[in-house]
Amino acid sequence: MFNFLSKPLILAIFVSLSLNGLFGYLSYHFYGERASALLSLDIALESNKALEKSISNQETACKIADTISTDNQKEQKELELSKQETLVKIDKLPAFDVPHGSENKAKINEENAYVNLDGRLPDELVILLQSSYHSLQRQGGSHAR
Amino acid sequence: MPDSLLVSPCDGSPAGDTIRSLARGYVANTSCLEQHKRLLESQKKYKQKIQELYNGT
Repeated sequence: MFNFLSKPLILAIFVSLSLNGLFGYLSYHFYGERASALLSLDIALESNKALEKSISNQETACKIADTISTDNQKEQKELELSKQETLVKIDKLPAFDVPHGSENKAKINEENAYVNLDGRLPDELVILLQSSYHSLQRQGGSHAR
Repeated sequence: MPDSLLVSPCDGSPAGDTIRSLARGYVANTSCLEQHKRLLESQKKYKQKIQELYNGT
């Protein structure tokens, strides 16, 4: 059956065809693997770029958070300080402010332990309260700008 | 949102039973209101900046 293999030319052609087939198969196989590897590389490069962008965004977000938090803390401290100053001024106000002369002071102490709900507040207190309110309004207005 | 922007900066103050304590409460509460306004402004600013960062708007 394999008598034709005894002829050298035919044998050479057979071997050549076999080798060509083998190289063809290997070439096809490695080409496919190369294409697959290139695709994986492209995906890895894209992932790397996305990761880099994500890290960069996160760093920027951290900086934004840090800046805004710091600014807010500073504003809160300023407001707290302003409030404490006003509270100290209120604490320093005299206990009684009798508008119609000091002779009524004793009478008020003895006969009227409660204040008149519709009575006027002491002028100094009114000034302090209004000043505190308007100071906040001004600060709020300049902050909004 | 950073934790520092999620904490209430102050609590309300009671009126007390004297004009002085009422005045103190008024000052404290007015200031507290402004502190909350500032906190809200900071939160809005943070949200806007983050949206600009991620959406590019």
